[in-house]
Amino acid sequence: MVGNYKLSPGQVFDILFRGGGSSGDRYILFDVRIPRLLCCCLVGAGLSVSGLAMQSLFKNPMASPSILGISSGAAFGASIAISFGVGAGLFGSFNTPVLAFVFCFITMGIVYAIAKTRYGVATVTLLLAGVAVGAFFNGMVSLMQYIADEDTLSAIVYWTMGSFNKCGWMSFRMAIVPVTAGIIAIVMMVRELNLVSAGEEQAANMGVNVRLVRIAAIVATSLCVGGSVAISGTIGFVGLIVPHIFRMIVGPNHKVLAPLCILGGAAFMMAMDTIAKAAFEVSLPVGVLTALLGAPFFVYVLRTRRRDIWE
Amino acid sequence: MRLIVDGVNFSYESKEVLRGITFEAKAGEVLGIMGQNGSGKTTLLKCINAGLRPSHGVVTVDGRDVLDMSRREIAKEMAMVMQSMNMTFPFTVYETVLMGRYSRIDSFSGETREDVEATYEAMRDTNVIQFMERSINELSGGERRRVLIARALVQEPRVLLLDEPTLHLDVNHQFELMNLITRLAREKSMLVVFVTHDIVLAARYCDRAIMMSDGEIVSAGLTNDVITPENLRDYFKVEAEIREDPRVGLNVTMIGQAVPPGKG
Amino acid sequence: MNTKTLAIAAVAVLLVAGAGATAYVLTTDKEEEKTGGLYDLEAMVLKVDMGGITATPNIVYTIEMLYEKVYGKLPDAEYTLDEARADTEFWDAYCDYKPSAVKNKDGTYTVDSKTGRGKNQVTTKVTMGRVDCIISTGSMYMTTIYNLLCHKHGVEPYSAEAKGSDGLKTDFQKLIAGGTSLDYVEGNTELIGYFNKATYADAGANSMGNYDKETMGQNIRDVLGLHPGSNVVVMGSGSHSDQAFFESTDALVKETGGIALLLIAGSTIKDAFANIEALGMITGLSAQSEPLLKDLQVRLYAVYKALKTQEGTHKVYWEASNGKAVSGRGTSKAVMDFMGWDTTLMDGAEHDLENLNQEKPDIIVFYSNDTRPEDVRMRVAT
Repeated sequence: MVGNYKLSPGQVFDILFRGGGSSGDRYILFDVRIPRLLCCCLVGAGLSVSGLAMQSLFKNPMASPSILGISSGAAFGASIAISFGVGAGLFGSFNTPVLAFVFCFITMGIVYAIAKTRYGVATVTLLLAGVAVGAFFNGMVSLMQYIADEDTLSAIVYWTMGSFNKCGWMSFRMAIVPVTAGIIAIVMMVRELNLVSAGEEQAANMGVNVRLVRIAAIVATSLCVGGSVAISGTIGFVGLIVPHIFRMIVGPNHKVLAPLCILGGAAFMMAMDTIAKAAFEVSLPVGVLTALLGAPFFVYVLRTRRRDIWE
Repeated sequence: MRLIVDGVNFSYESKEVLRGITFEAKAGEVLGIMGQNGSGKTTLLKCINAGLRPSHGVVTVDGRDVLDMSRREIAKEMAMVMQSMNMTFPFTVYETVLMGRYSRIDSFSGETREDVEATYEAMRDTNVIQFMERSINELSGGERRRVLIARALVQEPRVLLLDEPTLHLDVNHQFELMNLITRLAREKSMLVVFVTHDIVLAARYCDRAIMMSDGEIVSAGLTNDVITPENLRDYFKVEAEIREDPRVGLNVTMIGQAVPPGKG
Repeated sequence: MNTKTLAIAAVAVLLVAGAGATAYVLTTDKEEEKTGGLYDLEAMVLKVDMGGITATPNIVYTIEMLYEKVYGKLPDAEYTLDEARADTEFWDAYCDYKPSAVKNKDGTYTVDSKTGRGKNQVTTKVTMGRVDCIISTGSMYMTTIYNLLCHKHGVEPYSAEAKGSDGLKTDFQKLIAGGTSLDYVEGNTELIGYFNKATYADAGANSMGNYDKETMGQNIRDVLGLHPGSNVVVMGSGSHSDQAFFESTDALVKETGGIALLLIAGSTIKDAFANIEALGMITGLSAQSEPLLKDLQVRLYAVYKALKTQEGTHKVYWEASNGKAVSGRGTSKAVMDFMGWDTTLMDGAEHDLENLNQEKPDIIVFYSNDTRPEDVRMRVAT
């Protein structure tokens, strides 16, 4: 609960419970700080719990919500909205978030269609299709950055770094429905995720409709990622780190992990955003900070838990 | 309870793996399916529990086609213990066994006392309860196989399917496991169908046996009618001596590789 | 046999390449006169101040500079505003701007705030009182205000006299009360000496996009603390903002004590004039901005007339510090169009040496704040 507008805890208390403070103080608290915090919670929770779902689905603790290339797809959607104003006629000012969200689902559809064969969908194929489609959209984003002029370029780059700087109540209202729906869907299938993460074929033998769980997990992840990137841009590593940390602490049982990821993800994102905006002279995009912390962590996990990953 | 496999064919791409597999089995029996590697045994198990869809033929349990049943309904009828068990995530033994209750737990209410009790009972039956809090990845091969059997038991199935249950186990653990399985089959009056390439073990523990070769059933019936020196020579390419032994039932002694006809 | 041939061929290729490279290095080392890279184009290389081309008086000074560098000294011919206005071809194209601010009867001003650009541009009419303090991002507002204040104090911009004027500094520090980080000001303008670090409300950012909202609120509060009762506006470029951003930020500015958010957009010479007029009007410096505008217009006309006497054209390649061509959408293109030069290479794309050698631009432009070493800019350093 800190920010660059100076409010002491006493003042915050006064504003919250006694209706005190100047109109500026109240505005900063109620219309800037609180919606931004809520957006952080939403995005942190959504990315963490969908990261958990992806790690379980792919039985790989290195998976993240972006593994299906959906973040790259969303970044491409945002890029064409920023560069060419695509969708401005239909969605006005909201064309960037809307296109990001839409492309998230288009990418998901493409990946799933590629991975689908008449024998069903193999998880490994799904993963590779995600990597390929993600790489394609990353290339497209680079192309957009290449042909963009300096202003547009900086807007695209800034978007892809991820930030809560533009998050207000409107952002929260936009993201709350898809992200919450995605989170609820994942929470409702914790038992199935337990079984699937222990082996798909055996899960099927024990009565799990694996195909349905797979589709549900992917759609729920797209909802979480789509809703999140729409308001904050792409923020990496949160969906990788948070589930992983909690799994190391409490074990792989999703009944415990899912709620922890929701709470922990929200708390982690709030902390990161607070550091990002207040700890340095300039306010950093939070995505930069999560990547700066995330990359070393990724390496640490790779070094210490290699067996688990490759077995 | 009656399991009927009727004229089942299965092919991967254009390769026919199973041809006209037909047999029946009932509760309380221990049925061994023997065959060399690649004879289609595992594929047959997967067709029985609808993990694979046969290109021809049907599998029924008490007259119901398994392909018409949901995964959950099948899981209540049949449990399958698979050959390989790779766990990326270190679930505990208790968590792993409890997973078997999935088909019997209501999606909304969560697990009940009954489910927990069933889990404890299965862990006791298979003698894994003493390490219930340990991670499955820390266990030895034999312990792990017992955990998986416990997980299959909590499904309260009427058919227990096992794919090479003794593979990679020490000899004493092979006996321990097969004794456990046959005891459970009698106590819980389940039909146990297990697939193996180990003739010695099959000869000792099966009530009835099926011998497969190249995707077809080449011999079926009581164990001593199926495991004969002739069949072993023709389909396993080994010379063997077989005699009744009061201590072990059917005793198979392998002598050596069969000599191809015309060269001896 | 096959591998052997291959190995010999490989060694031969390496030897030839090595010899070639050695020869190349040796010859380039010996050369006194710079060759290679962009030098081979034998084009004229010019430097343009970045702040000078976006909607400030400098746009005209830049045009004059470009003329003199390329064609030599401007003729002494004196023109009057009436003459310029009478030349409708000139006037309609460059000076007949649509005002972006008007003064109302009750003493308030109505100013256009613009977001987006091209066909997506949205204009909002903002009505407000006279501005006492500005918190702005970018450098164009401070540059314009600086020019107007220099006129007010009767000093030549950027002169020693201006630097020594305490009155100018006091006025400037009150009017440009906060915004763009001083680091950016220092690196991109000549104005750092006019600021007071202790009282300036630093945004820690240089554009609206990365201006933290709470910092903005705090900046407004700080400015109001320093100048109680002042009318504070927040200004920045609107071309990369959308209407939702305008509305939420406008609310923030007003709730925290500011009077308005103005997002300005400009991509033509006309826009520059309109913006100078508007800035002068809302800050009560019309007395300075009006003569300044007239002066700028007459000077622009002088260049216009001089250009009429020049024959032939030039092809210009303008490269930004990211190594790519400056795009043809902004004021930079407007300036080059005024010069009548070929701007096909100003397309925002990257151009390799091969392409440039084929296109043969004869004027190469860099920004004056381009920090790349000369050899890198001219592409002779490998």
